[in-house]
Amino acid sequence: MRQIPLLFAVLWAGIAQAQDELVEAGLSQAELERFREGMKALEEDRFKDAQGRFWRVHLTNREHPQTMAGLGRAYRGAGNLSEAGKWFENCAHLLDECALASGQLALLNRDFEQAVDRLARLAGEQGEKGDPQVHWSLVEAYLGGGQFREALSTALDFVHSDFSQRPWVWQPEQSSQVGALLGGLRQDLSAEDPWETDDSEQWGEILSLLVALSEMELEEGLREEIAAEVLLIEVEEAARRRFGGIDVALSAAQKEQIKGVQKDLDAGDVAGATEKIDQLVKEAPRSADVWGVRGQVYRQSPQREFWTEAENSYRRAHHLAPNNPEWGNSLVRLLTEGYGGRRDKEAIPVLKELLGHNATVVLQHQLAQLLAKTGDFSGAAAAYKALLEKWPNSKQAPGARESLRALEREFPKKADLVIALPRSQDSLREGAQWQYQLSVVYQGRSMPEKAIAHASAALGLQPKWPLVLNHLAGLLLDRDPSAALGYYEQSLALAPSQERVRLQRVALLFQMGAMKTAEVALRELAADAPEFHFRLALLDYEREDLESAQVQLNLFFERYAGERFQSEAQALQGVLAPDLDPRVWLPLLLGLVGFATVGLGVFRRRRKRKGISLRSFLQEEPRCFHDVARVLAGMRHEVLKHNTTLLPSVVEALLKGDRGPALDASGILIGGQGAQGVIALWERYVGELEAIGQAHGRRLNLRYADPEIAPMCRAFRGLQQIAPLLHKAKPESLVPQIRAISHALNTVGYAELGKLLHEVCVLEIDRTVLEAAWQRVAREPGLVGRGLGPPVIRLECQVQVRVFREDLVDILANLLRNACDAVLAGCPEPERRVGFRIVEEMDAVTGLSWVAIRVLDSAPGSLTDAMLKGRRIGRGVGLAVDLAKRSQGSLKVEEEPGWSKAVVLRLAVAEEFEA
Amino acid sequence: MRTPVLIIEDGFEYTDRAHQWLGDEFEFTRAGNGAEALALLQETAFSLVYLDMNFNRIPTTDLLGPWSEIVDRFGGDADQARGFLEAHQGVYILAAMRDLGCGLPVLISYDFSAEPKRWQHLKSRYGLLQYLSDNAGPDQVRCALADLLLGGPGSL
Repeated sequence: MRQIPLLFAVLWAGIAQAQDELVEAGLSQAELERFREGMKALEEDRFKDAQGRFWRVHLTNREHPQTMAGLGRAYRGAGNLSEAGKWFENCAHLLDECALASGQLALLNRDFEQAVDRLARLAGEQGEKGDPQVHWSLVEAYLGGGQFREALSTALDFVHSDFSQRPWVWQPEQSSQVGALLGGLRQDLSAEDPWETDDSEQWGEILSLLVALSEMELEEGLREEIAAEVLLIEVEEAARRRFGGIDVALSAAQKEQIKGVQKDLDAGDVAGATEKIDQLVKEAPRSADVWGVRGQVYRQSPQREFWTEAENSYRRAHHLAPNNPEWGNSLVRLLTEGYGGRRDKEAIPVLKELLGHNATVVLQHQLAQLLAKTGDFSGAAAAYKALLEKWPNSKQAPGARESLRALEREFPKKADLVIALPRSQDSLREGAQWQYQLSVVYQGRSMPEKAIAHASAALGLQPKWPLVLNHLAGLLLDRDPSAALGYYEQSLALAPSQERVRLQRVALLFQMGAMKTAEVALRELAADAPEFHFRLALLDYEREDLESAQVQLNLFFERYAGERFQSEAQALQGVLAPDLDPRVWLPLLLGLVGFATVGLGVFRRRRKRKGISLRSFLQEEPRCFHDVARVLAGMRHEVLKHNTTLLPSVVEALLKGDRGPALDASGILIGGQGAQGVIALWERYVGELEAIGQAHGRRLNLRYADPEIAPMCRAFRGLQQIAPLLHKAKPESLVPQIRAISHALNTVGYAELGKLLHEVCVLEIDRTVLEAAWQRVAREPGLVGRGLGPPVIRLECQVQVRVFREDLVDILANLLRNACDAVLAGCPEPERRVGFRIVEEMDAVTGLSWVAIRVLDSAPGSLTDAMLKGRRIGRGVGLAVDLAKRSQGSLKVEEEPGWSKAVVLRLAVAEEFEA
Repeated sequence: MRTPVLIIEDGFEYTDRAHQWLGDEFEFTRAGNGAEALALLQETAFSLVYLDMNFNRIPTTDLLGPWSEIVDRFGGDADQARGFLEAHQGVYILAAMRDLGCGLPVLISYDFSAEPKRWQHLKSRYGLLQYLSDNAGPDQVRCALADLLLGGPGSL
């Protein structure tokens, strides 16, 4: 309720502005004088005095609404809320402001029913073009009365209406109501059993509300809170989707209805089918078949926007009946066939889930193909191997063998082990399962802290659950290997036959340096899984016990007939039996050495492969460009300049026998005396980029996989290693390394960073952008049928600017809407004109060029720069100002010959880049 | 005799590195902002100027440039105006030097390789100029300074 005084202030500001109209409304000069005295008394908080003066006006002019409103405010100021309410009520039918005030007073009195009554009526009368305060107060009234769903619905109307484009700014007090709304909604919904009610649409609506709110102007803390809330709901929804098996059977009549829908579809009547299936979904919301058929119906639509609806329906059906492969398959087909390969990766988890429930050779083959197609070659190889192990005589097997050979030729070191885990979860308590699912989702989102917390919570509820023990061990592999080992051992104590877990334990023991224990564990593993004799042979070979290595290799060949490790074993055999032609075993040996080098680090490598590149991230989240550009510029300017660029001089000095420059460089690179070195500075910048990614729910793999940044990270790791040696190691051992690092950083890295900065987010200003802005505005209800033609476009230059396309269209649409409103309000029809003129300008002093996008209109009346920024006045374009500023642009009102005025957007020109 | 060079920068990185790596051949003096540089140029004979571009560590009042005009260009937004003047302060200092009649060769530390049109404009307007990108090491700085002393190429 803290916003009430503020709203009254806004209300009264409106009344004050309307004073000039009072004479016309019938006040005599004497009454007007008293009225103004009353207003002044109100402003000075002399409420009793104000009451008296308004009363005197009212006694002679009983129908004057502003006087009644004044009395209401005077009584309110004096603390007499019931009397104030009566006065506001009296004038509510005459003044919207009074109706709002009446509703507000009811709110203040916690009479939510009355507040809803007043405000809902007012909101209904005003419609979408009404006062945003009314709608938000109505949200608050619903909220106060515990009508959370109505509050949600009204809030959704609010955020999706035109209000966000209108000059009304959120105040902290109002923002706090958003928090209350969210709290109330969550409390309300969580009070219901999520498995008995159909609540996911409600969650979807809340999510939609939150996303819309997060794009509005809220105080900083609340934005973060809302972002966290969005994340939580997404995570919970993602986790919820992992549950299943709540399919409800249809009645005979409903089955007939489904048949009717399918008949409509067969006859090509998509509209009829849509109507029927949408009705049926309301009647049977927990039926997988209904949702699946709904997916089919929407999939038939030629309009791609309906495919989202199809996808949601298929997901829903798959969620309800995960054992039924039909809807999961439909979803996979939609994702893989409907989007030209762009969403192939999203189909992979669906396929894996399908395989988990109902493994078939077709699905396995499809998974392998998709993994290969999306570039996960090791995953594809593992999938093909699994297919060949399980269905060696299937008709897909020959093709799978061929594909596997091709994959292994290309990636001989990435052979993987596929060992199925026990699946039975029937006896697990639901809470533990929920915690586990949350943990899996957080892990997928690269939020390990939360993943660990939820996995631990799951174990707290269900301590003897091998799946979670293994999951938690995996999460702790890098952070706390001892704890991870403990969890693996607990898991194996419960389920000793988990071959994969046994192998992971062995790998971890080797990694921790417990060689003897690891070897014992490996021998035990080989007793059950003979292919691991090869690993033992390799171990013996590495410690030069060739005799034992041969024994183990013989055991491998004798006891194991599968394909795993065969090529590597042949290579090792070639080494151990040198009578073979070196031309045969030498290449194999090289592969073997590589295999051995990477063998035990498999888990670490997997981690290194996860995440996306910076370029992909910018393509997915182009609005982050300015944040990313700031960091990249820092990398180029602060890290390379005068720092790593010293390296060639260090080389020259070292070759001349002068260690002085090397010592200086060492200090600069690793710091000293409390100063931060350049290597640490680089790390900080990489961390900043990762944080930007994380803030948008993306894991960036900058250090190991990014084509531009990873080579530089590698070079810095090299620098880290050699920097302490610069003053003591032999020059001949250092010089080649320093030269290579310098080349990687100062030449290649510098150029790549520059290229990245220049390539991303550059847009050519052409007609399509201008027309896109017009199309957006022309569709709006206020313009349709008003006889305003498209804008006149004069494109006097062709340049590129650094701006995100959607931002530019938003800015131009905002300006154009403003121009159209002004023209429609102030010009007779023949004179209504809007237009664009695009010119390039140059500042002679700095040599910088701008493109000036001049938005022209023929509306009379003046507009100033200050008005342009104002959010409370009718012609404010605050959104455009903010967006322009974000792109380092500006907005200004200028004169334009032949037009009433021009609102000019200036953006810096991006010259064409030549690497 | 060492060649006297005026370094104009808002920090001390250029001066420190230059002393460290090029101190045998050049004698460096530092100016922390445009006004200080103009004063030094009037009282001391330098052979060259080594000029930073971005001056985001000095007070707004020390920034050279048409403040009101730039604030107006950004629709009255003083923050944007300040950011703009900071980012391009090197050019405003250069313009002020030329207005003062100082025709010394100037080495600008800014990568103009991505803005060839702008660089051509600046060269034609401000005379003997050269720029150094951020990946230039001490040897390249030395070469660039030597080129400028000899009236050599106008850009790298």
